[in-house]
Amino acid sequence: MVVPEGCDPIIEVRDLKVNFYTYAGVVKAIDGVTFTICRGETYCLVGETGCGKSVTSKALTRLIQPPGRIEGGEIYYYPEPGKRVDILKLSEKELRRIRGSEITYVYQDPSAALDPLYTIGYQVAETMKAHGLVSRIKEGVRRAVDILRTVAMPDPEVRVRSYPHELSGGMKQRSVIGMAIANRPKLLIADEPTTALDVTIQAQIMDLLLELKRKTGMTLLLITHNLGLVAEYCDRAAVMYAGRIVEEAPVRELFKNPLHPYTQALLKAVPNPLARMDKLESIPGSVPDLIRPPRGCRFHPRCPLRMDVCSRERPPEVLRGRGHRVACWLYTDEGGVAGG
Amino acid sequence: MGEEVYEKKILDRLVDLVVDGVAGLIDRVRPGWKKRREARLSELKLTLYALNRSPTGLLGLALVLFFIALAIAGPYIAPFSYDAQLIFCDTEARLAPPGKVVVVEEGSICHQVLGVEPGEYKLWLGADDQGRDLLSRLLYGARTSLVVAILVMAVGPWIGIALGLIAGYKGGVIDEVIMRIVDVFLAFPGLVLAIALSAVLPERVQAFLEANPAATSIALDLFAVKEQHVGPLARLLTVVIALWIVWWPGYARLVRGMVLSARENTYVEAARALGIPTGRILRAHILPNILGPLLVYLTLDFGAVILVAAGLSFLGLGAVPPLADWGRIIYDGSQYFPNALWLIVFPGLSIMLTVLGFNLLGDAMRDILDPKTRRRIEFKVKGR
Repeated sequence: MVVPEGCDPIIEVRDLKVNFYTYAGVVKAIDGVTFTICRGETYCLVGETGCGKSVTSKALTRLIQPPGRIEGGEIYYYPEPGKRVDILKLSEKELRRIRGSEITYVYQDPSAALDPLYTIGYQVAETMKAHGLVSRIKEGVRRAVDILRTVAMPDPEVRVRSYPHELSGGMKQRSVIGMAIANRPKLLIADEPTTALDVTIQAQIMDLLLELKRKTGMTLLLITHNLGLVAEYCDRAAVMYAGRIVEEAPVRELFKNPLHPYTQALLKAVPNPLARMDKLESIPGSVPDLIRPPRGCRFHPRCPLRMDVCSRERPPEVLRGRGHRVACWLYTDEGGVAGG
Repeated sequence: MGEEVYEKKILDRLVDLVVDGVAGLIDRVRPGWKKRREARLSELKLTLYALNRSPTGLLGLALVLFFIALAIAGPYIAPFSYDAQLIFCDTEARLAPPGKVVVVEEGSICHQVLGVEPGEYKLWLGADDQGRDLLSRLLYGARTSLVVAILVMAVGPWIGIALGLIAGYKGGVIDEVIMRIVDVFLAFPGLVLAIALSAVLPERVQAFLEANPAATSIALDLFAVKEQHVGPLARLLTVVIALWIVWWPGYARLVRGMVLSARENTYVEAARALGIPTGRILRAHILPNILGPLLVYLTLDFGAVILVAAGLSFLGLGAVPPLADWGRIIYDGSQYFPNALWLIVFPGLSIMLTVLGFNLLGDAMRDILDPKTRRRIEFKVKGR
């Protein structure tokens, strides 16, 4: 385990495995993911579409639905320092108490995450009522005005009675965030919270999330494929590829000194506005089929630095510097030449 | 757009008048109500405009409303009671053809025992072999049909809807078990099952009615039946119970299918992630979102229940004389076919028009409930 000094964990995931049982075969969507999120930090999961970021985040409160199933590993949640809850052993009822009140989600597409049949106020009130914060929806709708004000919704008194179709994308996402923070969660999981929004709104929403985090002291798990967001908002980040974490480091370290060939390629694929570029780098090959993933390191077919061992055995996790771990043969004794 | 401006018709203006009037009244009692419901009221108006543009829908609605009005008022406006055997007044009343006049004399059995006022009566639709006025019996029969249909539809489909919701949402083993039971029920002809149940249940229902006078008096009032006819009423209620048992599997299958697609909505997953209890997700987030097609199906089924209930009575199950039931009237009248044709034609027409009404209305609702229809009309009304 690589955890920064003085880390007070809020979520601890060890060797998590999630499979999806489809007609085409078993998709090994998550294959041995291990990480720890410290209380109060902003932790990022980065990776391209289909690499398992969202599945990992859903597994944290066991939201994986058939045909998917958590097949192994451990997930621990620490509601407060020293108090450990084994998520995988909780009953559905106990889980329900945690979902939406202690660990909540903000989804990618706010238009889809709101039920078109109910007003914003009603939906905020519903989550409060489900967790006993208010006893009646009507009371919750009154309190929803304050919550909408907290998420900087313009005209909260009016908007509380609006239906989702009457709001703009940014306002919808504010409502979704309002629903998520209504019960003062300890951990907020934001699954690509700005992907469906246009660029000017993106910054507003991210600033709002950080502002809320600062005010309430909650922990933020940010899931994104946008490296710009990672650089700007995260404390630590884990890079995922094909269902595994290939590298994890504090954000500055990750950008300054990327170790894994995939991370390096990913960073090269981001245009630098300060430098003139004739051609944007891309990573050759395509994302592997997770029904029959490549043996050994899952990145080896696309890796410019691959060695024989890469296609035979799964690379071990190597610790390089403070809180910087990487799963790559280059940095082991066997493949030490290139890593040297 | 803009090539076609929707002209408000008289019916549309009537809709405006009624909706605005009622809203105004409520607004006066509860200030601010109208403003809060503005969006809903305008949607309601558009829905009714859409209905106004569908001639078949209007015809269906008219037939249905006519049927419901008769069913409610029937027992009060009927010239005679459903069991008034006029042959005791006038032997001519036996199988009297439509338009025949019968005479009730002062001091006759009719007057003294049945309580029919003396005088001359014209039997508009004729009478059956006991001299019972067909018009009166059809009016009482409307009540019977409506109450049977309501009782069946108030329970049967909802068993199916509940099971379909659970099966579709939970999936896995629960889904398999529920749907295989549904398969068994659907493979077994519903009518045959209902017949078997109607043959077995009557004694128990009667025993139940005798043990529960409160329930009995409610049932008697609902069906507008006299107290001495509890026995026949028990047989009618048996049909209701039998139909509860056979009426749900179709709904379970229909609803499960719709739930399978509705549960994929992100807001359902979001509700789960927010810790909303499963029961509430089903009730508040899935059911309302599949209600449109379900409503169409329920409306169509109202007619189907009336038809099947009449069919069971025709087969001699369910209502027995002297209770008035359209199916039973046809069955009894069939013995005098083709001489007393009115005994078959009029109840037959009653059934046909009622079922037709529900079917036309249900078909029209498919279009009316489609939000796109409303938007198209909205654009035209606003003259864009």
